[in-house]
Amino acid sequence: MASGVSVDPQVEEHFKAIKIGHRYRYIVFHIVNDSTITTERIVEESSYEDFVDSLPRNDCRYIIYDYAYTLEDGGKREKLLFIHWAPDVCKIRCKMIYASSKDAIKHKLRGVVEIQANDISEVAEDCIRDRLKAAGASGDK
Amino acid sequence: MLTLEKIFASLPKTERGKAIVLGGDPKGENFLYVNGNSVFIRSLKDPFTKCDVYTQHSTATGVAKYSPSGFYIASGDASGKVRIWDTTQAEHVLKNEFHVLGGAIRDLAWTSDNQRLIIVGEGREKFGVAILADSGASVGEIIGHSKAINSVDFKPQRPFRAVTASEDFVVCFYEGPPFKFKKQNDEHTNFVNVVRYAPSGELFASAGSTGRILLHEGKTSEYLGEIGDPAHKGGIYSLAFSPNSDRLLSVSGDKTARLWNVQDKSLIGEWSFGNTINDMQVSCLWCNDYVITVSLDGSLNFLDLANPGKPTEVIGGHSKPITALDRSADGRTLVTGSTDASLVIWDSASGRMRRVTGLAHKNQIQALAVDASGTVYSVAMDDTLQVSSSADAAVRADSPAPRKLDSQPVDASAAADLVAIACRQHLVLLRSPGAVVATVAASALTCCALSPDGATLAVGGADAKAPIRLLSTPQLAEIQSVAEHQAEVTALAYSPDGANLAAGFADRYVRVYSVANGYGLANTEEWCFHTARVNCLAWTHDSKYLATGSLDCSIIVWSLDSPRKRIVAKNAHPMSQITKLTWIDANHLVSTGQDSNIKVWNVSFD
Amino acid sequence: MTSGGNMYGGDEVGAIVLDVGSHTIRAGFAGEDMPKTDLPAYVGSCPAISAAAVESAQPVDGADSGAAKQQQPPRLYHGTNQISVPRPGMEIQALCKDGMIEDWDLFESTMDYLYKHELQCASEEHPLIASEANWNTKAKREKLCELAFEKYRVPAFFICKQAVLACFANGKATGLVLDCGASGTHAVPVFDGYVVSHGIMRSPLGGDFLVRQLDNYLRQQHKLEPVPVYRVASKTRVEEGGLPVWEAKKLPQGITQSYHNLMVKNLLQDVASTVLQCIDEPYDQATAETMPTVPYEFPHGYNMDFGYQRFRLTEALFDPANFLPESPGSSMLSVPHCLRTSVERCDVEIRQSLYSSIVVVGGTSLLKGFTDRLQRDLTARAAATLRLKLLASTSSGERRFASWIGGSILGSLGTFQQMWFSKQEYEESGKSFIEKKCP
Repeated sequence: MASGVSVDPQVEEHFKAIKIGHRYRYIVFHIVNDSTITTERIVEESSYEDFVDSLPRNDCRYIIYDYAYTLEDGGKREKLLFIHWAPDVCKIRCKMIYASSKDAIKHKLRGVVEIQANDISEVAEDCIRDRLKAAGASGDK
Repeated sequence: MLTLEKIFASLPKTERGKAIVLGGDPKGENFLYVNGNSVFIRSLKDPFTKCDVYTQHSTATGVAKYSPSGFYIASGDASGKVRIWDTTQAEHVLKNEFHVLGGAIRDLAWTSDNQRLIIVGEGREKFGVAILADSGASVGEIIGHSKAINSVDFKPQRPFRAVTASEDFVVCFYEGPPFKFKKQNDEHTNFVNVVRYAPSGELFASAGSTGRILLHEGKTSEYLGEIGDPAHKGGIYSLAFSPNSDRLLSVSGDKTARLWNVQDKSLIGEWSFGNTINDMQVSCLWCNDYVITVSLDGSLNFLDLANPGKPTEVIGGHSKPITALDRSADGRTLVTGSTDASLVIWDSASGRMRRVTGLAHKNQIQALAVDASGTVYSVAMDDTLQVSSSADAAVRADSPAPRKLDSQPVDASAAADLVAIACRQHLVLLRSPGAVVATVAASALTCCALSPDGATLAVGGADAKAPIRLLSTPQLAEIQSVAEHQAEVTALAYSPDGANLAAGFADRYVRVYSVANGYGLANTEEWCFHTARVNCLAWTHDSKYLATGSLDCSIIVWSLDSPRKRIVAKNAHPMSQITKLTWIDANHLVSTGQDSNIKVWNVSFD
Repeated sequence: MTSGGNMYGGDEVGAIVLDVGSHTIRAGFAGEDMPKTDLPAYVGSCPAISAAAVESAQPVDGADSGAAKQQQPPRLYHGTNQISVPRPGMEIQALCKDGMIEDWDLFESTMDYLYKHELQCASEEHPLIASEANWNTKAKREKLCELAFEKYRVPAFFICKQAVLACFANGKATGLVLDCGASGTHAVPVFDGYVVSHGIMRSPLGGDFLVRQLDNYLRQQHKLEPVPVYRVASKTRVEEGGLPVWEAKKLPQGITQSYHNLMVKNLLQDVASTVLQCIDEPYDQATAETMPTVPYEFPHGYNMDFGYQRFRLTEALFDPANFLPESPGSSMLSVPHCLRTSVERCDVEIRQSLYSSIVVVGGTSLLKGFTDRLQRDLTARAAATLRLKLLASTSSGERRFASWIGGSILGSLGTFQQMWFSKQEYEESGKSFIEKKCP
């Protein structure tokens, strides 16, 4: 079920750049005028902590984050996270629009691990690690 | 990191008119009892602070017994499931779980070869089963009863026999394995609560509501005679043989425990526990040199056989959820209150406790506060406020009389020489030791906190839209309000240096407001890492760290200086919400749970 | 996406949002925060002849009345105010069964009433977005669609599952929606905006069930016949527990049993919402007895203090096996068990996501202590590593109208205008095209 919100073509371009070219650390997408999903900003280098700090506390966003981590056995991995950021404290209208438009943007992004986060605790690194472990166990989603 | 240092464990669950069963460790180190969904493995040598708690059952536990080897424990619960688990390691690895009965399990017995279990209790058609501990396969039929079976025991030597005692007034006798019904003994004329074999196997004793102890021959179940005439004036709930089978202990609703010589059936000694209902005796255990009885209020009485009369040691505490907690100024004494209207004073180092006497409260203690002089102010759901002394563990003759409050109290806070009581519809301010200074109407309050200098009182309410109000003392006039939140305020606490006010909320958030900054938020971090309602908060003495406890069973310690760092202790009280917290010194945090346990944690901040 | 010429253009005129439930029907305008009206999902139906007889106050001749009866349709009454008036021969009839629209004639009359009296607008000027039961049948969706276009000539139509709207409104595209309403409690898993149908678990334990429990308790153990307001002319203050002293109102003849039953049900709902509470641990008689009592004064003056029953009556939601008097050892699932079973029926990969996004909605969930007890019971049976999070809005409006609010926002979105099933598309492709437009 979708809201009809459309996706700006630059979204796909930027996604390719991060997926294939690994040119950025993360990209933040937002919905403009209640009608289109576009790129809000691109950050080339950032620590995960700084990224979490930069998230708006009262507004929803979609983020693609190129996450690099080390496994317990020392192996290095890199996964693309698609984060649907919808803080509980947001206005209901904002939550509704982002939730019902998620499908539209998700279809343009292949090979990502999806994270639904409704507050800081769900986007915290330890939570992400658990999620990656679970996704790794049963194959990418 | 939070490491558990001590546990002032919950008492056994008791119920009026019902016998409970204790388990004894063949190695003589621990004894077992149950409460809530847990099995308590309490140390016999140091029962005050050492207890291991196993919380893996999904419904209320009914009984737990060691296997004769001491390597496993079998525990049964209210849904009819039995779990067999390892005792040697802390993880208590589960060996097996079987669903054996259609109702609550009341007792179980291991065969002496550690291979088989007989499990009895309630059910629809089946009241008992005999199974192999390894596979759950049936090794006989426990039939012959028409009502729930209360007790079961097994003859420890060959030829093997088993006995069961039931609400249908009958004691059944089985031969096996495989266990076959052999004989029905109907000498009892009322509920039979307990049946136990003497360790020598020569005879077994049974007792029940009639107050009579009857003896039967161990191999044939032939009726041998009666001990006492009758043994007790009230119903007998439990029996325990001495390890060499020469003596028998019986405990009764007549509030006594009696020691008998089995050979000549004479009375050797008697212990009297008092004359209130709480002194009724509902269980007993004889484990090597230790003899323990349980009173209806859950107290564990350690008896000295050489000195009949009074128990040598009484371990008290709580058997119901702990709802209130505070400490003395020096942290050496803890005061806890529970849903059963009891207040207990604890020594935080040794775990020794005394119950406060003379209280007028009739139901759940809602909150309590201890002032600088050690006076305890407790408020209960029956709208009463009472003043007692923590040093004496009693309501003193010179204390103010219990007071009836105008609306139901919800929280209490003490600072300087003032005590604030928040009630649903009003606030009361008292000056030590109990004179009312001011009262003001309020609406839907849930919590309050006095600043350390006593000059400001912060109050929070149930209405998500109502702000946290700051009132001046003693007039209780509003100075300011703080409204950064969107949910019910559940707890408030000022840091000891008075610089910050912390608030916990029903929507899992924890926020800290800086006093100097006009009560603006002290940091922009979102402290929302609990997954359910925040119940309580406590600041460390140096005001740098805040511990919070939640409905999600975990404790989190937050750092004011490094707001992004936190220490999370998940399942600090397994399957139980954390009800209250307090720091007794720079590194020790005390938590209380709905599981009636008090835990003392050693906290290392790096 | 769809053929441009047939798309609904999207005027400035607002859409109407309709959320149909077994207990009430919520309707209002898209873009608003709350529904304009919350109508009971019942209609009062008077056979025309009785209405005429009352109005004319004359005896009606036998032969004529027969003919008149056949010609005149029954007089229908909608809305709480109208239904509450005691009228001779007025039967109360429900619109829905099992959460879905059952009586289409009555439903139509309700829609007429809504447009004319509550919303006060012309149906052909406003697109209509409707919510549907999470297990709605294809036939019923198409029928509603047909009704909307044929009778009401709406310019555009859309239909969406209630759980999806509620889930989105809480900021989630994936979650377990636990809807505790009058007709029962339903656990509906939603994954990426779609209901996982094979995961739906339905339990009859809901508001109506609690009302029945309360009714049994009052009649059997208190020997109290609940007397609704419509029968009371005046009452005198009596002591708590004392025999009520009241004067019966002079009522017209022919008040139906169904009307009386509805009035009693409304009364008991009020008692339930005032008095009932969920205890935070498995019920223990001794503990419940120490809790403070809550008084209730019935319309006919009977004054009663509710003690441990306040907690005992709600315990059946969490432990039906032991707390349902009629069927001991019943195999009915408790609310937490219903929720767990629903999650367990879904793919193992999405279960953790469902458990960490449980959305609680519905009026019955507003019972004091309900969400805390639910949290406790779920935790008790969950693995220690499971991340469990319950989301229950503190606003009672958001809890009761979650689906309506979701529909309201959707219907007001500019971009949504291209998603509507337009009149032209309907005329071209027929009602079965709705499956494509509203998946």
